[in-house]
Order: sequence, then C-alpha cells, then structure tokens
Amino acid sequence: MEKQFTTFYIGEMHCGIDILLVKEINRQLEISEVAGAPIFIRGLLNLRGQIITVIDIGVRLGFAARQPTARSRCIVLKTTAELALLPHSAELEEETTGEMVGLFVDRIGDMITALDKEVQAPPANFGNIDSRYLSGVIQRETDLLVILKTGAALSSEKNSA
Amino acid sequence: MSEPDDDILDELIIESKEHLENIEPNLLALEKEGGKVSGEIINSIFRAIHSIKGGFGFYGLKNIQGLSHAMESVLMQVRDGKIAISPPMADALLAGVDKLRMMLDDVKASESCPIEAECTQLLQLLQGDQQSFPPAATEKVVAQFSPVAGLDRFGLTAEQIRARMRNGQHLYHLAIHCPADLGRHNRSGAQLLVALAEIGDIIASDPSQADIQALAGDEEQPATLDILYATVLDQDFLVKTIGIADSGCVAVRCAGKGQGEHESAAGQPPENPEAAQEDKEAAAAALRKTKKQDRVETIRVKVSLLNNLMALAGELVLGRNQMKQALNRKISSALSSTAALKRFEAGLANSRKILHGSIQSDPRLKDENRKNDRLLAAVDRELGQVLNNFRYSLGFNLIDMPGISGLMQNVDLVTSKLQNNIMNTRMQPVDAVFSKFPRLIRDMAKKLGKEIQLTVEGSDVELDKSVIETLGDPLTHLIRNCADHGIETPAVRTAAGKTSFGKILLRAHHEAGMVNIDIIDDGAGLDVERIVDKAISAGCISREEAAMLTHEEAMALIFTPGLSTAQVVSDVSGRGVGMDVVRTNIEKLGGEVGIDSTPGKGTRINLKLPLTLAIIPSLIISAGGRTFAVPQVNLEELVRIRARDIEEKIEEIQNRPVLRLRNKLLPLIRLDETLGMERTYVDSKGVRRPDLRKGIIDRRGATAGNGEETVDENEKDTPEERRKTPSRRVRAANALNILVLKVGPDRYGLIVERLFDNEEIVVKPLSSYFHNCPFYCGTTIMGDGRVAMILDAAGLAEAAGLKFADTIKKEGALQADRFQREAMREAQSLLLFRNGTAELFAVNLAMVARIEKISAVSIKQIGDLEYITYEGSSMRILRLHHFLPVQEPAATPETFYVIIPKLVADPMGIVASKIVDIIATSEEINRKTITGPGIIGSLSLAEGLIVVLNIYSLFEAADPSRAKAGDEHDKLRGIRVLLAEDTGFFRAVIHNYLESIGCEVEVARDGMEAWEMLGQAAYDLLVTDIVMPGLDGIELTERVRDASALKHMPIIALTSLMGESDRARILAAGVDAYETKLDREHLLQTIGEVMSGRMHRPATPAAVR
Repeated sequence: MEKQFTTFYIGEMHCGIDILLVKEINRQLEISEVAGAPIFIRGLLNLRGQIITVIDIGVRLGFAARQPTARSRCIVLKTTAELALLPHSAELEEETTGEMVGLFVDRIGDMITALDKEVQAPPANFGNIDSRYLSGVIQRETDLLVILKTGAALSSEKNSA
Repeated sequence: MSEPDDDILDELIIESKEHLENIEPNLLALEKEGGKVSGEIINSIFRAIHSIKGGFGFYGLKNIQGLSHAMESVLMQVRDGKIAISPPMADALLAGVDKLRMMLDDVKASESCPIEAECTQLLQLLQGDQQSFPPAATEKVVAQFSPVAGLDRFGLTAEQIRARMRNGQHLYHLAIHCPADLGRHNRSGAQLLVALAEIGDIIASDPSQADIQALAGDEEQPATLDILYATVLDQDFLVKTIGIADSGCVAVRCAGKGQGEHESAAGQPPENPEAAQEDKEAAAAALRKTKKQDRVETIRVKVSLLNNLMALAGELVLGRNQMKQALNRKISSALSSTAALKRFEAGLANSRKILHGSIQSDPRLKDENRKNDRLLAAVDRELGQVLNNFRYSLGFNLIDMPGISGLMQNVDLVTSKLQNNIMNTRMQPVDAVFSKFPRLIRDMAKKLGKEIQLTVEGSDVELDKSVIETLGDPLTHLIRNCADHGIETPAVRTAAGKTSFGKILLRAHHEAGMVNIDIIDDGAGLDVERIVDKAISAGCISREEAAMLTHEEAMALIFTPGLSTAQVVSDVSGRGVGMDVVRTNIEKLGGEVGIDSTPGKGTRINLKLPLTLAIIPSLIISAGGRTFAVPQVNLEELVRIRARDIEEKIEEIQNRPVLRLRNKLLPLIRLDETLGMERTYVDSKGVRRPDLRKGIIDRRGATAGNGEETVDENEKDTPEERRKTPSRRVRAANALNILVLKVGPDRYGLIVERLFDNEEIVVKPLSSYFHNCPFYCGTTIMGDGRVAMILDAAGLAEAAGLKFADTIKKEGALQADRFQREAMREAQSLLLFRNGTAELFAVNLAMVARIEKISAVSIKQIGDLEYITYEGSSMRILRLHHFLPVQEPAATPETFYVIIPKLVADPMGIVASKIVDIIATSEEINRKTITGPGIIGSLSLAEGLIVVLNIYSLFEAADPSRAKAGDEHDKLRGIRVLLAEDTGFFRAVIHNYLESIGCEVEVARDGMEAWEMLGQAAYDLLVTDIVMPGLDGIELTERVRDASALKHMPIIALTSLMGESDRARILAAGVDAYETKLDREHLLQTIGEVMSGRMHRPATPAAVR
C-alpha cells in the first residue's frame, strides 16, 4: 500500500511523518519561550486562540538547539481525538498526543510517496539518534528518509536515554 | 445483551442513580420521623426501588434485581404498617442503597458483586416471614369484578373492607388453583401464606387460613382457594410476585366511596379527621415540592461541549480586547492626523495670505491687473493641490468611523454577558456536595455514639462545576472533623449544661464576590493548648515561638502537616493528615480557609471560594523580558524599593535576601533566577545585559576600579561614564519591584522586572509537558496575542526552596522589642501621588479601594463635572486643584490614574498624574501648617512635604449636598470628647471628624494617658482605639466601668480588627458600641445613637447592649 509522508529537515537530516498526522504547517509565528520547561520544548504558540506546545524535534532526537531562520516552520499535528475522526483511523500506525502540539523544524521538504515495503527497519544505531524515536528508513536515490515514531517522540516523559 | 440496547441501559443507569439520590434523603427522613412520616415518602422510595428492580430485571442483571427486590420487600412491610422503621432497618436499607450505587457504577461487573450480606441483613428484618419467592411471569388478563359477588362469600361488610383499604392499598380477589398454582411451583399452602403475608394482608379466605396451611400443594384433588387480599402492589406486579395466573387475580373496587388511595398515611387512625387533614396537606406539600423540582426545564449537555463554549467565549473576549486596542490606536492616530491636517491647513492659509499680500502690494504687478489676478488664482490652485496631496497622503488615517465607539461598547457588553451566561452553564448548586452530608453525619453519629443534628443552609448557592468537584473531599474532611473532634458525647454535653445533641450548621452564602461556606458546630471547640503542645512535640515550632503566638496563630497551627489532636485516633478521622490537605486544596481553588473557636462553645470554619476558575483577575508582570500573570488572589501588596534604599532595607539571612517590611521580615526570591533564566538587567542605553552580581545587595558594580573590574565588563567601553556616577545601578530602572505573595499564612516577596496592568485573564490548562514545572499553574493569551504563563505562588516558593520557618525565627528576635512603645505604634500606610505638579499628596491606603488607569478620552463631561465609567456605573472624578489651594498642573496628560476610595458612600475618584509610592510611617501629622477643607494636615518625610488629604471633607467641598448630612449631627455640637488613639494618623483623622460636627476634642496618645486625663477633667464621651501600647482599649474600658465616678460614661471603641471573637471581646468589656476606624458616616451616626440613648436612659452600659 502507498503511503504519503510530509518531510522536513533537521540540520541535514531528512525526516518524514505520515501526512495524515499533520494538521497544518505554519510559518514561524511568535513562539513564547517558557522558562524552566524541558529542554526539548521550544515554547508555546498561539494558533488562533489555541495554545500549542512547540516541540523542538531536533533536540528530542539529540541535536543541539538551532536558531530559528526564515525557513523554520512549525508542523502542527492532529490530536488523538482528531485522528480518531479519520475514516481509516484504525489503520494508522503512528499516534500523536491528546493535546495540541507542533514540531519545530528547520525547513520543509517535499511530500514523498512510498510503498509500505520500501520502509525498512531502522538500523540499531543511526548516527547518534535514539532509535526509540525512529520507526523506519526509506532508502532513496539521493538520500535516506528517516521516518519518525511520533508517539514516542511526543511523549512528555524525560529523555531518559 | 445486544449492542443497540446499550444506550437504553445507559439511560436506565442514569435514571436509577437519580432514584438512589432521592431515596437516601427520604430514607433518612423516614428514620427520623418514624411512624409520623407521610405515606407519600414511603411510596416514593418504594416506587424508586421498584423501578430499579423492574428495569434491571429486564436486562437480566440478577444481582441488582435481587437486592432491590429484597429492599422492596422490606419497604412493603413498612408501607403496610406491618413493621415500624427502625435504625437497624435504616442501616440495612442504606447499605442496600450503597451497594446498588456501587453496582450501578459498573453494571457489567454487577453480576459478580456479592449481595448476600445486604440481602441477609434485609431478610433478617422480615424474620418470621421467611423469604420471598422468585417471581414468575404469566399471561395477563384484566377483569372487572363486581364487589358484591366476592364480598358476600367472605361475609364482610363494605365498611369493613373500606377500613382495610385506607392506607392506599389495593384490594384483590385472588383465585389460587391447586395444583396449578401451588403444585407447579412446588410449594405448600403454608409457603403460599408466608409469601402473601410478606407483601400484603390476607383479609379473608375461603377455605380458612388454617385449611390452606394444611395443604401440601401437590394434592390430586383440584381446588380453588379464594382469598381477599390487600396490598400496595399493582396487579401485574402482584401476580408475578406470588406466581399465579393473571386471571386468578381480580381487583376489587368498592362502589360509592373511593378506594382510599393516598387519603391517609400509614398507621394513622382514620377516625381523627384533623390529623388526616394535616397529613393530606403535608403530602400535598411534598408532592408540590417534587412537582416544582420537576418543572425546571433541563437538558443534558456534555461537559466537553460546555468547555468548548467556554474556550470560544474566552477567545471572543480576547478578540474583543485586541480589537479595542487596535481601535484605540486607530482613533488616536486619526485624531493626531486630523490635528496635523488642521495645523497644515492653518499654515497654508497663512502662507496664502502672505503671498496674496505680497502679490497685491508688488508695484511691478500693480498696473497689470489681470496678471495680478491670474497669479493669485495660480497660487490658490497650487496651494489647494498641496493641501489635497497632503490630505491624500494621510489617507486612511483620516477616515474616522462614526459611531464606532458605540458599536464597540455594544460588542463589549454582549461579549461580557455571553461569557457570564456560558460560565453560568457550568454552575451547579452546592447541594451536589452538601446532599451527601446528612447521611455521613448519621453514620458517624451512630459509630461514635453521639447525637448530632445537621442543619444545611444555602444549598442552592451555585459554584463552578470544577470548584464543586474539588470541594467534596476537603468539605467531607471538615464535616468529619466536626463530628469526630468537635461534638462531644451526650454525657459530656449534658455535664457541660448543653443539649445532649450537638448541632452542626453547614451554610453557603455569597459575600464580596466569593462564595462563603461556614461549618459551625457547638462542640468542645479547639483545645489551643493541646494544639500548641502537639506542635512543640512534633517539632513544628519551638517553645519560644509558641510563647509568642497569638490566639489566632495558635489556632492556625492545626493546618500544620502532621498534627491531629483527637485523643483517640479513630477510623473516621484523626489520622493527622487532613487539615493541611484541606487548606492546600482550598487554596488551589484560589480560596481561603479561616478558623475561629471558643473553648466549650464551638468552632467555626469559614471557606471562601471563587465562583469560577476559568477567568481570574491577575497582575501582569515581566521578568527577563518575558511576560507572566500573577493571580490576584495570591497577591497581597506591591512594594517598590528605590535603588538607593536597597542597601538599607534589604538584608541577608543565611545568604538569602530578606526585606524588612513593617517590622516583619519578608524572604525574597528573584523570579528570573527561580525559573532558571539568565539574570539580566537593562542598562542605561536600554540594552539587556547579563547581571553578574551575586545578590541583590551586592553592589560590586559600584566598587569598580578597586580590583573587581572583571565583574562588570559590559560597559567597560565607557569608563568615564562609569566614574561619573558613584553607583551606576542607582537609577529608577534599578529599583526593585516586589510582589508580596501569600502562601497560606506565609508571605514572601517576588522580585520582578516590570509591573503592567491588572487584567482579567482566561485560564487555559497547562500542557502536560510542563508537569515538572511547579511554578506554573496555567497559561493564558495576552491582549497582544502572545502566550504568557500564570505563576503559582506556592510552586514558586517550593522551587526556590523557601523555608518560612527560618524567617519566622529571625522575626521572633525582631519582635522581641515590640513591647517597646514606639515599635508597637500602628504604622499607617499612605499612598503618595502627584497631581501633575511637584506637590506630593497622600491618602491613607486603608481608604483606597482601587487605583485605575484611565485615558483622557474616556472621561465624559456633564456640565462642569467629569465622570468615568467604573464597574458599570458612572463615577464622578475630582481634580485636586479645583478644590484645594494647590498648584494647577500645566498640561492634562493623556492617561492618568484615578484613586477610588472605599469606606465612603458614593465615592468619587481622585485624579492623580502619577502614583509615587506607598510608605509606612508612624510620624505625627502636622495639623497646623497646611490646613483647609479637604486637608488633614501635612507630613514632612524623606520624600518631601506631603499634603495628607481628608477624603470626606474633600468630597463635601466637591459636592456641597454631602455636607448637609453633617447637619444631622447638630445635637452633638459642643459635647466634650476624649479621644484615645496611639496612631498619629488616625488620631488626626478622627479628631478632624469629631471637630467637623462641633465636638470639643481632647486627645490622649495611649490608654494610660487617657486614664489620667479622665481623672482630671469631665468628658461626655470616650472614643478609644483598641490596640494601644501599655493600657489597651479593652483594659481602659474595664477600668472606666470599674470606677464609680465614671462607670456610666459612654464609650465607643474604634477598631481595625473585625473578627467575631474580637467583637465579642470588645463588647464584653462594656463598651457601648464599636466602629471601624475610618468609616466617618457610621462613626458619627453611632456617636449620635449612643449619645441620644444615653440622654434618655442612663442605665448601666453593659445592659444596654
């Protein structure tokens, strides 16, 4: 079966998540930083009256925090309740969380379509990235697309690795 | 059970739960009233249980059905007057209700829930009646029965039968066939009789009951047993219960009179028409009550939907605020553009005049008239073009929107109303919590062997659902405490001369925008000594600290974690966790807990709760360049320490900064530091730089040049500048803004960077990603659309590792000298402000309700008077220079402050251009140098010469109609008053009041001085402060009352304490009346009352009150 991925970059790493999980992609709005928050929390965003917790997915994966640039974006994800309303919600392999969250990424890549069988299990040690957050990789002609395990990456538990 | 049934089952469960809610209070009433209770109550319990049984029987849930059946059997007997309701029966029934409730919570699991214990308990009540038989369904036939045919056979008169039917029973003629009805169910005649006796009355039978008893049930010979039977059960239910064919049961109706229905209550002799009438009325009233409750139209709405509505309303409020801001900006820019255009037009007109003048007077153009005119026309054209171009370039800025502010006001109003209404949908009566207490008290009284009467008042007071939900546990704990620790056993109570039953009053009422819940008992009261002993042995406080505690402080110790004073730790309460949890929970809701107790008389606990949690008034502040909101409930006061005072006012104890504030030490924490932000400050050029000082009072920046230059390298590029000022941090921007926050009884200071406005913020829940951040309690969206965190006062203190005990110890040392006269003087807090000039004015802070920031455009002018809108109604505002001999400000600022006083009827706002400071001083007010209406006097302090205002006479000056009220006090003119007051400010103010109505006033600076003066001269009235050094007001009163020459002297006490116990103490000392210190109107009125009362009746004062 075919699957579509919204892709984005963290530094030079090309990452993707199932397009069905994405609610919208925002240009860098004003993110209010929250003192004392966990390090992977970029801050809070007011999206038309809803407060969105912006997660610096790069930091979560083990990269250093990056400065926002003109190309930085916030990928707002659907909540679990919104996912449940999708027609084939039972077939979704990934999950999100019950509250509104956004992923802070360095830039947005293309939308990529791939077959199920193209997705390979992630290598045990992919760079320095914690494999808990990876669900697979897709070997492409030009590069390697890393598919994120959103459920784990969005967990509010401390990065205990 | 099939899937589609689930909805119906859910509905049934909800309904059944409601039934149970109704059963419980009814059962309690039944138990209390015993036989006297109206039949309607029993009927309603019966019906409720019956419908539960029927409903769940349909779903085949045998346990629920079985238990409700057993309960029903017992109720039936009660209903029929066969057994009287007894405490064990009430126990058994209540236990049944509990079990049913439990099973209803999870009906699927109910089948595996053991009900034997409850059933056995219930069935034991029916002892002698053995047990009931499972019902069996049969086909249903309804027939009409002629009374005469049946009745003849049993040889009864219609009158006799009617007598049996009085209690709302139905009469049936049963035709039971042998062996069909007996043999089929494998039962004997004896068993049948038992089954029948259990649920009704056998009036007569053919054959006789003895013969039926003898039947084995499986006789070969067919027979029909005719039984005349009376029961409350409906026909179809009866046949099921006793297991006979429907055709075998026929209802008997008596011709003529009605069936008796509900005319008479169970056990009531029908011969007594009066009582029957009363019962009828009671039943009718009960019925009306239920009907009335039914009539309130309701609809079930999902809470999530309400929450969404609430969130949307919050958004609307936000949108409105943003729109308002944008509109204000637009309006002010349109105004300034218009003004610019006007100036430009004036300039052009001027230029045109000059040009015209020079063209016309130019001799070279004089002869050529036409040329002259053409030139003039060209100039006009050019200038017109310039003007048009300018107008065009101003463009949209000039477009004003007629009527927009009216529209905006409308939107404003509708939005607020909408929000209020939506908020009201979340409101529930406190009854949701209160209703469970009668049962709780009953059970506890039983367990503890006490007699307790619980009175509930105000159960219709409404609170937000979330508040109600959180309220349950703390309130239960308090009520339990009351019953367990508060109320004594009957023996103890009788010995103490009280009624054998203890009373607990649970009361909810509105007060000052909060909901108050009082729990008042008439029990033993708090044993303060034991609490203190316990606190000492538990190591909470030291013996020295204990010695210094006031009565209130000692009582507050029960909120300390780990203290329980119950001598026997019972299983109901007294585990030593509780009161502290109660307080924490109530404070989490933004509420307060107060306690007051008199040994032997009882205890009163007061909870103050906000109506809602969704929108809270907050102060907006910033630190480290970020914005935060601090809920007003946590905020006690704001303190600003000027840079040059920092060294003097802030000291360090164990490396922690503390502020000396009115003789108390306030631990300080920095917000930026506590939140783990980099400490920064904004330098003279407005650039944010890291702050490298170690502490607040570390002035190493000031000592630059003597070896510590490394400390502050940021401004090294301008060494000259640095040398010029001795301490670069001594600038207004480096003053400390301190919020005094309260956490329970403790206070601490939070140092923030800037203070902004007070705003009503919409609270949004905190994301779960911040669960490790105790210092936040929510988020909100500010007017500018940015997200701000709401600070949690308790969490901040915790995160900063504040230990209040340390400062309390230090404070003890500080207070050791408080017996010194001067230290005990009540300091007066003054609000200093300016009116656009260099002059400093002050009003007493105790008289200030609020300070509002107002923009000049929102003033409405009516005649010569100016008004603003405050809290929905208009309020007049005063400019000091209009009424006082003071300088007039050169310009009217765009925005200014309005000081709104309290303790005054119809207050007017006082305009201030700038709020300077709040200072505490015990300096004497000079009443001679600066005088006049509206002025108390002057103070010469470090801040400069301060004019202290007399708000009352200022208002009288501004509104002469007020002064007329003073004429009423004419009769007080000339009376000689001795005023004893140790605080200079109050002395001056009250002196002023008294003089204003023509009294001759002498002042004493403390109780001792007053006592001496009383011995030397005669006075008509003594007005005394309560808290004074040396001889206080109460002791002074007692002395006066004991002196034979003075004991009839009228005494009025002035107080700023307003607790119940204080009042009692003050009155007990023998004063004629007491009044709040600054409330002039009341004071003068009270003086009038006391004096006129005295003129007519010179009796002993204690007897008067």
